[in-house]
Amino acid sequence: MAKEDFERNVRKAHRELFEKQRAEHPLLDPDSTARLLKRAGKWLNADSIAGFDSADFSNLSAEQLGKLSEAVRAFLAIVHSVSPDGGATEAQFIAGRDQLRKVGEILREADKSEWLAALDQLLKDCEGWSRHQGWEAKRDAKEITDDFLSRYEAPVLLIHSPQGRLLVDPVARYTVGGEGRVDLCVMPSFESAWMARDGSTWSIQADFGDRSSHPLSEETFIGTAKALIQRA
Amino acid sequence: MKKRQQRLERIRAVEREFLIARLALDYFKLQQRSQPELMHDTDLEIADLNRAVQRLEGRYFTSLFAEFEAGCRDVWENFLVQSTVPRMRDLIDGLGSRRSIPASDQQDAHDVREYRNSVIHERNDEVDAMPIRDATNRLCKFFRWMPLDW
Repeated sequence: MAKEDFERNVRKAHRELFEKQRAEHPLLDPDSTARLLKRAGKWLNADSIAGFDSADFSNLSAEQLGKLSEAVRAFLAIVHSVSPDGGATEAQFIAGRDQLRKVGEILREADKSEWLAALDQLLKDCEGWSRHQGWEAKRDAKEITDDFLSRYEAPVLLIHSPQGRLLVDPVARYTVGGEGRVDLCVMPSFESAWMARDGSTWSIQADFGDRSSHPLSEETFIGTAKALIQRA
Repeated sequence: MKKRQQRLERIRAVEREFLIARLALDYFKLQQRSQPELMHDTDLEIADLNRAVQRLEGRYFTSLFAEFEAGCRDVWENFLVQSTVPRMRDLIDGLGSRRSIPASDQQDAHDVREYRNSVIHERNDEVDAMPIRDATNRLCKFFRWMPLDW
């Protein structure tokens, strides 16, 4: 199982625990505690960290990797201590939650830096391709709220051509089957195409033309940008 | 009007129908207390009225999801030109991957689908109750990623 599977499993467990069950303070309300313990099986299980292989995390410092490995190991130990018949106790719930939070924090920081670096490179490419056309390009920033990454600032790129204006607009780090989405919108209609990230490569796709996904290049980017401007 | 907007409005219309129906039922229930004769000419009993109140949101929840499902299948067949008839779970995933939909919006749609299933199969203890307003917002958020027109 690949690194992506491990990360997806952790995000899923995080969503279940911190978004859907809102388990920040389970001990304050007895009804809430009972409900959370009953549903702990949805995230307090080995699937939540399935696919972990420390060799996949060469991007982390030795200290961070040590913390990640330790949190995964501790989480698994808690999972194995839960009685299959009786369900989790409050102590197991809290200990498991805290270890899962640690895993999430390490992944979040690494993923955010990596995503922002990928966005920076993409925008540099788009900027360069635009300038080859004699178009002006200017960076700005926007705030993105993400279930896992929380709130962060991402760069956007405003492109001014004599025929119209475009916006390169980051949308999401996590997409279905992909690793990021950035929209290319024309103003004022905001009709858009999108750039999807898969590993270190990007593709571009629109709902007009042949509607297929094409590898992102200067030619496909400028072709799509010009088509959007014509449709504005 | 563009098709995506039409579909979004049809989804939102179900929520508005629900709100009207709830208002009407609440009003009728209030009136019935002071005028029990309102139901005398029918075969209906108070238990029927109470059941209708209790089940109203669940009934509309399934209609809401059916409207969303119809929109998704319309895109699948007529924009993406697919001849398959996938299960709803696979349809959400298929649209999600073909249109690079943010994973959180796909998960939101799945949460509504799971709650709809729990309502249909009366397994309400397995998932948290989801107000119809919340469900409408989640489904519209997912559908917003569909093409403007087709």
